Amino acid sequence: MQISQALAFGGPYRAGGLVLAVMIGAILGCSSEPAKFEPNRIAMYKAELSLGTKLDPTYQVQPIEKILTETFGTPDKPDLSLWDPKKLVPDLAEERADIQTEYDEIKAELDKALKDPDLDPEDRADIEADLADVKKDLDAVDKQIAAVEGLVQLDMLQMAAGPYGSAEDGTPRGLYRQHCVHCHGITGNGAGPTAAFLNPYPRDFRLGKFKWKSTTTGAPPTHDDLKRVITNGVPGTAMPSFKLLPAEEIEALTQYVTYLSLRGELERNLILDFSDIDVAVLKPAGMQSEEEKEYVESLSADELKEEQTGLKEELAELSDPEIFLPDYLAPIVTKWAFADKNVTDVPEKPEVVLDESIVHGRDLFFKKGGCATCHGQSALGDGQTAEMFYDDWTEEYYDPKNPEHLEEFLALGALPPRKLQPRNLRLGNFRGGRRPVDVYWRIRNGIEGAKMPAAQQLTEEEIWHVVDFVRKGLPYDSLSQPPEHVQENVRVRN
Amino acid sequence: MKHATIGMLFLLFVGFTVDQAAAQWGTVTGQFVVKGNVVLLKPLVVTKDNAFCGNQLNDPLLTVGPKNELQDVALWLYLDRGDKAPTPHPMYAALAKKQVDVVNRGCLYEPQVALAVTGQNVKFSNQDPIAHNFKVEGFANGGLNNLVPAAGNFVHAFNDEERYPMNAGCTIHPWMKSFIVVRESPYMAVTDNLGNFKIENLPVGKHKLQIWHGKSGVIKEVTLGGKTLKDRKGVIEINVQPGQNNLGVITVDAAKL
Ligand code: HEC
Ligand code: HEC
Repeated sequence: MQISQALAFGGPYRAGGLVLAVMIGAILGCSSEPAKFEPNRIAMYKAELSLGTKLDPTYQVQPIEKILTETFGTPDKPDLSLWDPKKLVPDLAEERADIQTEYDEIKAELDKALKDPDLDPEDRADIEADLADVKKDLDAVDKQIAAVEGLVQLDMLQMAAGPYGSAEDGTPRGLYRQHCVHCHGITGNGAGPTAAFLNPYPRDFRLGKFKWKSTTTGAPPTHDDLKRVITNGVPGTAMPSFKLLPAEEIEALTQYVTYLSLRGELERNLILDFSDIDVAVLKPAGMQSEEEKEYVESLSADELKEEQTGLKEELAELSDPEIFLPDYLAPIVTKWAFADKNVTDVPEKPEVVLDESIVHGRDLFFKKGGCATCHGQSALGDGQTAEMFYDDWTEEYYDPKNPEHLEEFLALGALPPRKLQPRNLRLGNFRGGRRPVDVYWRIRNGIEGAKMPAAQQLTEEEIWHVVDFVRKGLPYDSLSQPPEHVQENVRVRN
Repeated sequence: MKHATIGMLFLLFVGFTVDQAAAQWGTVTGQFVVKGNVVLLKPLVVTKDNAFCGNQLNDPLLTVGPKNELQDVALWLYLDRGDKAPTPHPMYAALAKKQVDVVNRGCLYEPQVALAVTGQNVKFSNQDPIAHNFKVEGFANGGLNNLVPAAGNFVHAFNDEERYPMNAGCTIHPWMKSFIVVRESPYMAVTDNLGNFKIENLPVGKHKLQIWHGKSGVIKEVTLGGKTLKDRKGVIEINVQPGQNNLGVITVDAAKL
């Protein structure tokens, strides 16, 4: 078991982790160097491998960093000054303006009518009803715009960002660096200094994928999902519970995780698009691949010039907020702001006799549910005998079929790949929460990033039977696997 | 990209018959063939459900015909940033309502490369007596990952265009991999077991096609009509005439696959 890596510290691995954590905290805290987000070198290198050439620092790498800094600021100083709803959700903003105009018109009509002493009460009621309808529409749009504006708020981000301390008025600062950075890293890449010792590894937020959520695969988590996971932690992993923090601090951390995820997703999309632009004609000779050199040399001086000019225009366009806000940031932000739309409704749990439900659930688990293919005939998590079972975060850089570039990725900071393990369900541990509704979501939607598929083939009632089976129908067997991780103790400041 | 295609610009002048009905539309056909020694991939080693799947399977990522005809090359209409796709021929309205089938059979996928327009229903079905799951990942569309028991199926539509094919795989049987091309414009094709493809009823005039294969990604170099065309993004430009436009044999160097 890979877990032994952590245990190599000696039994109480926790001590090792904490000492390291405190050390790192000290280093980060005292350093006078401003903290920096690290570029996603792994995604860049992946792009370079598929292109067969290096990305150009001046025309590709730097513009991406510039866009990210303009849009998000730095780890010490978050900046959302570009986040204008008119640019991010222009359709909504326009719709709002239209409805407002309509509202004003009806309002004027009503005001005028009210001045008429002979006003028919029925007419009056009609106009008022119209007005109420439009007001309802207006409120609905306002609510949507508020969801976009409320996703990340500067004052909240400021509490989480920066070095650990407090502002003059006493509000906390640096919560993320105080509580999360040693595992999740300053950029949210899941590769903080203690990460390599943990199994599972801390989450890399930059993919925007989360496991313990109420939404369908492919959709971001809701605000409540993130908040719940930060509050409760992930039992059975190193992810601590932050229950003891004041509500406002949990809110700040939730928004900060969202902020790092949005930033990470934007960066990945930008890398994809900038690397798609052929900048061969702008590259210094030393940076060109053979193929690029050959191509550039085949051009006449005029052609070269023309291409260079055209290319610079194109690059400038991509770097213009008028373009990258609506084209790149907006789709990501809307996806997150309206994550609630993708929440899976959980129907009322039917009244059943538990024992009977468990019998049904067991049958479904082995047959129609297909659960045993991974979780095994005894639900010990030993059913997946196939090689190449890695989670999505690992598959970002590791292709088990073609592992030849692994060393290079590791050198760029990727964590050593570890096989994904279907859970031993006899431990009675539910990392994503043990309430029936949590387990319902797990089975209905699968576990994103961890390869567990959604059981779309089961009816609602059948899912409830399986929930009963996995929660209540399996013998508890603590010896069936080496002990899992102990959650780290959270030091709460007072 | 304007500059990138200069190297690959290839205007097509083939004989054509003018058919009254097809005056504004042209159908493009061609055949992909590998030049040189095709090194087939190592068989996939089955590590689960061997009783049904067997111990080894041919890797469908690279399939060639008896004369090195290259199967599963996908081609789709390529648009420069800001360009609009042409209005498709009316025949495509009915096609978009048809369902695309992606089937699990014998612990592999059929087809290896499926084509769908945005919003089109894709039916994923499992014809094996064991459970599979369809995990589909793209960039523009949210991913999905559904278990499909023996003889089960589900239908899903991808609503956003993907620049490159989405990956479909089964995480229970991780050797199972296939692709789904999702494009807004219906002008696309995939080569059959003899390397042939056909894109029907393109508007007459110049178009760019992007050429891709699962093994190589975009095909950066092809030989067409005696000319070697290179493009980093695998884009070729064609000039479609009314009626039939046969591009003939398009060769891909075995070393470039
Ligand atoms: C001791 C290491 C550690 C610390 C400290 C830590 N985490 Fe985690 N975190 C983890 C691990 C490990 C996971 C992965 C759990 C899993 O995969 O089930 C994780 C996962 C997460 C997730 C993803 C949950 C999901 O649904 O996928 C979020 C969000 C998160 N952590 C937020 C935070 C925040 C915010 C803090 C600080 C307040 C923090 N973590 C502190 C180790 C840590
Ligand atoms: C493709 C393999 C696969 C299949 C099929 C599968 N699972 Fe899982 N399951 C996993 C993996 C992997 C994990 C561990 C995820 C993690 O913690 O990162 C898991 C975890 C779980 C958990 C623990 C959730 C938690 O909160 O900790 C439950 C419960 C579970 N599976 C139930 C089921 C049921 C019920 C089915 C059938 C309907 C099923 N699984 C099918 C792979 C699978």
